Amino acid sequence: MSDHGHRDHNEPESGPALRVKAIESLLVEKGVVDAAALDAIVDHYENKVGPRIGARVVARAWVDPKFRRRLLKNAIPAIAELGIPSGPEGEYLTVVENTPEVHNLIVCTLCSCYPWPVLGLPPVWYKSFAYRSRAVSDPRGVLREFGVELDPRVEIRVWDSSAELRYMALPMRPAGTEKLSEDELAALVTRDAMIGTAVVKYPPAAVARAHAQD
Amino acid sequence: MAPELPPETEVFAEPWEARAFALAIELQARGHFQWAEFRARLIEEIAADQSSSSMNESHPGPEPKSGYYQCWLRALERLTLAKGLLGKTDLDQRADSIAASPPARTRAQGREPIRIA
Repeated sequence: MSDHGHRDHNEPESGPALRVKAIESLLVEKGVVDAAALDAIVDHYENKVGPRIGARVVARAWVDPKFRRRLLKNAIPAIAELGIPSGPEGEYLTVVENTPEVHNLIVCTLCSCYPWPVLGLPPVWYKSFAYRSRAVSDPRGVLREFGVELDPRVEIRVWDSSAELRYMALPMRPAGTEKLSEDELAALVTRDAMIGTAVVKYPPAAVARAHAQD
Repeated sequence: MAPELPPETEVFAEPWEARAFALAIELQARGHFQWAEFRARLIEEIAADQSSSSMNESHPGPEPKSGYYQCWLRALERLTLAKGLLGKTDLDQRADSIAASPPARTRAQGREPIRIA
């Protein structure tokens, strides 16, 4: 998607597109908002933020135990150390750590609150009714559908996000990654691992498949 | 920093979704409302949409019937009206006038020469 602001046909607009255009044009006319600021916000969320930012945070936490402690205690100043801004309404962020005993799963049961500064905007399934309801009622079943089979002894903690509370899971560092650089570690971390619907694998699945075909 | 990977999915399905999203962020950033006020309306819209879609189906669909950003847009419109940032009549009239007269192409919008001699 790269065509914002470049509608190059002259068809009349209708439905939600028309409604948004009417709201924007009136608010711009009244000086309530600035169209360039809206462009910048769209560009930011489409092109600048996303799960690679969270992956950097995770990799740093894996290699630097002091950073990990700071991150778990108070995430916003910790991510600021990496030059990551807290975002427009992201002054709330709590990082919850996965351990051999506890697996954390993030959801927003009522709408779609999500840790934007570190993960960007949520995937479609995160906003779905099925995920929002079942993450709470049957987290183990949801994880199974995502291909995550946890030992029954592992406790699953489900964190319900809200306007003031946003969560990110700190996944476990996989075995065998001791010699990887921080950048190589970050490349292993997936968005779903930071939501809690995946675990970080090493070697990554794609590489493992490639070897299997050798 | 890890190499930039392409996004796994498109963030917005339609350009208007991006504009509706940005409007809510910008209005909040400028202090016209608190995020919690917006979220409360978004939750209501999603719940209303969900219950209307559940009536016809034993299993609610994976997505709100009219789409997540339509709920977002309804929440945005309600809140801007409630805050007095817009008037309902002005808004309806503006929508009608945009529908009646699509904006003329401008040089700024064009990616190709307007005319080739």
